[in-house]
Amino acid sequence: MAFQKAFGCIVLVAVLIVPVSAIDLSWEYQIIDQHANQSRAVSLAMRTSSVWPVAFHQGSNDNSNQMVVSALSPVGWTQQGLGDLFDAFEGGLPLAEAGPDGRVGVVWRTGADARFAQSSPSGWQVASLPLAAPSGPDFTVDFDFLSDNRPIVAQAAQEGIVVSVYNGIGWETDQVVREFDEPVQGMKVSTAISSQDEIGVAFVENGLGFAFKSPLSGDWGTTIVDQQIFPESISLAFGPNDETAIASVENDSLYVSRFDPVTGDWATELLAPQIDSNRVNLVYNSLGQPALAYVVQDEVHYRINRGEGWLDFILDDDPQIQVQPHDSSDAALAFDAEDIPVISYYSQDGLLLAYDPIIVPEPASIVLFLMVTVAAVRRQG
Amino acid sequence: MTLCIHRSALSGWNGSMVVLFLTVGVLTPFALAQQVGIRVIAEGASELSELDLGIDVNGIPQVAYWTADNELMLASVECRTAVLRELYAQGGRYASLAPGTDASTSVVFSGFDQASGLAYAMSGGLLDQPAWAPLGFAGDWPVLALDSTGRPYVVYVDHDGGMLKFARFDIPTGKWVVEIVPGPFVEFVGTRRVATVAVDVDDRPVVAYFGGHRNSAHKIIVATRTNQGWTIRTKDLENEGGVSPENGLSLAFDTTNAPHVVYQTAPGDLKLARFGVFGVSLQTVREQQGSPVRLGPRAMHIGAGGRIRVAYFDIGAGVVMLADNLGGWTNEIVDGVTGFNDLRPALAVDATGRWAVAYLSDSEGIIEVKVAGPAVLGTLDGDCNCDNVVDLVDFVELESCLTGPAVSIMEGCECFDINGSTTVDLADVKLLQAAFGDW
Repeated sequence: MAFQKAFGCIVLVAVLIVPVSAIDLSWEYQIIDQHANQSRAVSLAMRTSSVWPVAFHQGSNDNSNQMVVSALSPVGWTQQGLGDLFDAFEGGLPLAEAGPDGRVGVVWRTGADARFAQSSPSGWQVASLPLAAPSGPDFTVDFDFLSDNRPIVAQAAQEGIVVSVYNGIGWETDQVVREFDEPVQGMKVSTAISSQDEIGVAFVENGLGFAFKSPLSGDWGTTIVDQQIFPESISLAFGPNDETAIASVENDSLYVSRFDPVTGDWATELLAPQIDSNRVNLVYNSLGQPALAYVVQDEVHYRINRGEGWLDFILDDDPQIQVQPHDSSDAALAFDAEDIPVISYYSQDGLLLAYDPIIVPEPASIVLFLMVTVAAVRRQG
Repeated sequence: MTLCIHRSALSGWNGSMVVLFLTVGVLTPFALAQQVGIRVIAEGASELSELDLGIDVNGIPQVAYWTADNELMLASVECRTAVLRELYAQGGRYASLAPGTDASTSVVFSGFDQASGLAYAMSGGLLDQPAWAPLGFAGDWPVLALDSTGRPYVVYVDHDGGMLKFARFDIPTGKWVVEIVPGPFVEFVGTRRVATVAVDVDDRPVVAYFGGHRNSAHKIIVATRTNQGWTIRTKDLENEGGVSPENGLSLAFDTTNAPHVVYQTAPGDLKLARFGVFGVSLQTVREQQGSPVRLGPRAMHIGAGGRIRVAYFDIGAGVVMLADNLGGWTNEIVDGVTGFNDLRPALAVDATGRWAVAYLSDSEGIIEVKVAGPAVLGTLDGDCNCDNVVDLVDFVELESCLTGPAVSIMEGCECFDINGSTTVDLADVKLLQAAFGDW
């Protein structure tokens, strides 16, 4: 009897642990652009109430110096150039977001300026922002939309971080961190907007830092999230209830730092010791569950935390398309209106979109389920 | 109180200085009639063209039609001009148009050559140029509807199996998915638009079509596609004498999400069926008088207060009619819209209730595409800001264009050359003054 109980507990524990690897996700794949430049950079957003995927990436062939937007519509994927892009610049990599009214936007850097583009009923609108100086080519920019759909753009520079808000006529700027203790090379920045339209900024200086503009004083308050890591890439996100997290990549290791409102502390956990993607984008679904995706060797991993630890799903094969990712490809993640994850990345078949996982239990899961059932029946008997 | 302009100020115009006598008068009630101007937007249409019309989110009528050279064209009827865009150049037929919420316009058609079957064309919105793609299957009489996010739904007749089919674009796979619309669909050889599709208040596609026995339709069927499958509601009209499916039906929803279907009965009445929670109620929109005529409902709009407008064509009389249920059903002829013979006009009503009609007209052997209605802007002489009224705003603009009879018209002032003399002079001022008389 004791053995039966112990066996049942062991199996139960096994079932709780194993599903991460025992559940196979079946993904639908589309080729966004077969001839897309095999750059690693891609960014993804869902326009029109999170329904239609839009990917921002480097152009192909003669357009390789162009930022290109690929948008899905009932006539398929269509491509359009948005402006100059210099992929040699780390900061040139596109970062996309979706706005409250369904518009999507992207920000990237050229050698001379920062560019912001957004969808509109009259097509794509592109604006130029002067670069915060002094800054080098590997200083990044990021942006997000306010609730009234105005964009805010955060730029990193040697002497601080500048946030620009579009006021309907032009850009108003504010300096988040006025002077770093020491000039930081290759400064990284990530920004996000809270549910109450407050601006959050993540940055790297003496470790991973976070700044938040007080709604009362209008002043920026900064805090050190983790002094032990100096990431090469960071991604800040707020959940629907202002859950706050920062994903960061340092020496190919992926970390996620989350703020715990109960303790008032930040906690950092190692999510993956070795990834090949140079950057990740952290997103929350509508339930407040953080998620991200990345490439490890020939696999694309989709990670989500549903409250019981980080689940790890590996994108499956497809008989029609070469789905193995390119080394160091981005795996840009977004959620659609039904919280279904959508991932864009590069493979041998070009730029791909992976969509719509259907959970199909593998035989291993079924066997485990049967074992649990048998154990439970025996215990009751 | 209201501001008035003295006619004397206009008639005394001397070309050098304007003196406007503005007086404060007592408010008097007046009725501003809907202006039904008519504009020719294109020539050289195919006389067999099946055209369609929609009004986009910016209030601009969009017309899809086929040219005599087998091109599918999209005409944006903007302020005093029509911008023509080619959607497909290899021949085809049918055209069902739907404006999107992102200012794009979509058209489903049956294309020859490359398209080889039903195809989908888009223009505007995020597209820098029109694009099209085949749906991957063939069919007849496609009707297109878009939901609030731009997801397209197409209902069409598959003559191979005599089936009514429903197609939707599956975003996760990027492909079109087809399914059979359940129910006793009746295929009527040679008839058009025996089914239609619209999106309800909950953004779900709903198909309305005729059912019954072959060539004996007596049912109106409303099928709602939900995530769980199809929900079917049927109204048997055998006791009403059956229905006349020849000219189709129209579908719209009130704020309670009750489907309303307008159709013609076999005896000839134009009727409205409301599929409410507790059953289907019928109203007579237009009672048949004398010998039956063919009536084809092509557009219906239901306002927030329940006011219903139905636009339809009367093939027998060769006119377009508007029916309105304000205080009881009234049916009025749309003045001036004649001459389309048996070529079906297309009608659209926008969210504010403004309507427009597009139709073909034979002008000495040249088939013209014409549009008319309050939603068509810039049909009035002198209404150069296209707000469908000639007022002080137009007059002030004319002031800056007035150069007299000896000076050629300035760029951007063409609209004020009302008499076509290539100058903007006192003669045009007089015509503008006359247009003020509409107030």
